[in-house]
Amino acid sequence: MFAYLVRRLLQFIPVLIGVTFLVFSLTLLLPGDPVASLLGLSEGQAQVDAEMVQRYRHELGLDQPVPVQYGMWLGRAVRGDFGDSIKTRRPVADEILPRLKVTAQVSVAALIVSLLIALPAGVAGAVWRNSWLDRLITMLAVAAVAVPSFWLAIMMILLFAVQWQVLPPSGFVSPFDDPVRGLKLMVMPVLILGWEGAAVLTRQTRSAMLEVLSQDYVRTARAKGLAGRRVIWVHALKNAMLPIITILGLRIGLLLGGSAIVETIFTIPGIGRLLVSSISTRDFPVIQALVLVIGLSTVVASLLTDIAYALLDPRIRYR
Amino acid sequence: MISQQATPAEPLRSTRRRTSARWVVLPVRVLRSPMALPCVVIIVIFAVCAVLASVLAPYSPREQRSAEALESPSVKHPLGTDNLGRDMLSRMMYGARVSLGIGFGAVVLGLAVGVPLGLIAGYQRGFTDEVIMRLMEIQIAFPGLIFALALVSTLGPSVRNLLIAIGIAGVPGVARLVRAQVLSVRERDYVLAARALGAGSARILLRHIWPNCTAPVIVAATLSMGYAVLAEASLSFLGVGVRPPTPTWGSMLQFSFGYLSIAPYLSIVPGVAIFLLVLSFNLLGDALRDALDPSLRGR
Repeated sequence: MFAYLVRRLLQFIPVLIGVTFLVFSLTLLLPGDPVASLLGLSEGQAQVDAEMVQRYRHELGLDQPVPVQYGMWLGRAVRGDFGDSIKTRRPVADEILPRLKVTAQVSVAALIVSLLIALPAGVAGAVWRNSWLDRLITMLAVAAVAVPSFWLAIMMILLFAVQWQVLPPSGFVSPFDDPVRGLKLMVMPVLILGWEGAAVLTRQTRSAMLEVLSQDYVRTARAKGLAGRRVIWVHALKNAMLPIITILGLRIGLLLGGSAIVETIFTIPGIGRLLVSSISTRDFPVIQALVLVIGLSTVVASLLTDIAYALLDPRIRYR
Repeated sequence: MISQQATPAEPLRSTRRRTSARWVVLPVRVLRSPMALPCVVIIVIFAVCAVLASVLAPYSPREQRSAEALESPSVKHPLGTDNLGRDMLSRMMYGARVSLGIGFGAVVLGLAVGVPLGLIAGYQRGFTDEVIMRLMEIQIAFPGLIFALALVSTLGPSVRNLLIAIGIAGVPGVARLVRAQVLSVRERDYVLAARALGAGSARILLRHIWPNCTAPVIVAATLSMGYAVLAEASLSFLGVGVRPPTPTWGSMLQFSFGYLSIAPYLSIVPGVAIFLLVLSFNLLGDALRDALDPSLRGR
């Protein structure tokens, strides 16, 4: 196990360097003078303030060769220094951290919703294979992937907030501060973020369960007289969980991507909405830092998934 | 023995005949699946609307008639009008042009970059493979939507940049798929035979390996069309994609969101269109997969 961990961590280093370099290189792709973009100046202003632009260029090392620039940028990033937001003039890190907490709350809730829908649905589909229930579940899963999440959000607002007025249309209060209102506000965003994940996970659970249910040890468990329910939920599902865990790891990144849409619609003050609003105000330092945070979360999630996988399945370790 | 030493062109010609036969059998087998025909019909209808928008659309998509703003669907305006009095049906048709155009362009771009990368990685293996696959892994660290968002926000919003961003976001998936396929095909006996007959790397790769990798790529390309349409709609909805006044389904939804309580039909129509189109591509992809590899049916 230790050797596997070391190997996996070593593989992680080039990916880490690559991810940070890719985010850094966004600066190089910026049209016009990157310093002007980083300071939020227009071309004309940059010409007027030529001296200041020059000073910043030197301070940020943008007059150095690209590898040196990258090194300096990485050095600052490691210390959490991403510069100041153009819009608020506050340090980027101070803008991001409180919003990260909000996104984390919504994402975790969405993951739980996904699992609560997908596990029973997937198991039912596999156990009663080709029944009407299985067909219905499969059909819903296929349709769910094709529904644009922002449209689903709009339709839910139309029904629950405009027509029936049972839920507030948008906003966010932490459920830890005001449980009733906080949870009411979270129902729609969490259902929408969880719904898409549920569709993918249901298909995965179903096919993993089908695979496992045909194994000899399941037949043995049945033959020795164990109750059907115990065989399915303990013997089979435990083994079917492996591929499901992989999908769960991948979901983390997708949830952060989906949060851009859902947080914008429901005006939730998370990193997704911050990313979208920063793009429209061309707040480049914030965009860059957010893309880095999202990229790193995805990479770390996939590393943790691999480690969890290896802990659960000894075959991986000795490969 | 003698017949086996016949000219090397012989087996080549027979593979080619079989390949062309497959292109005849494939549509027949695909359409045998009950879901495929309606999907093809829907895609064709949308494609016709997109291509012939300038002929079919009853009004100009940009013509504003403030007197007819926010009208419910009627004979004059079958899908109603938006807040500026623009005909929704016409805007939907022109929107199909942008949505399908970007979707198609992005998939073609993804294939044009991803297929060669996958072919080279799988065929060369070793160091080249390591480098290409690590690069793909780095890109996958960014969820497709975030990657496209970052790219569009840096390059600036325009139809071209949106197409590039969505296309590049699809490259790693294609490259990984093709590589995996090449890895299994390159070990087959006919590749060995071609090499023994003195065929060069390029010939082996293009004439013997690539034709046998196309099946999963076709399936993936069909499914990617769905994802690309969805991605374009999402980005335009967020206001980072196509700029107004160019109509796209995503930006129409963003626009109509503000009139949700007064004119809900404005939000329903573009959403249903996106849903139907994406669903059709996804189901058609599934049907193609079943037709190309019957062993996967029901999985």
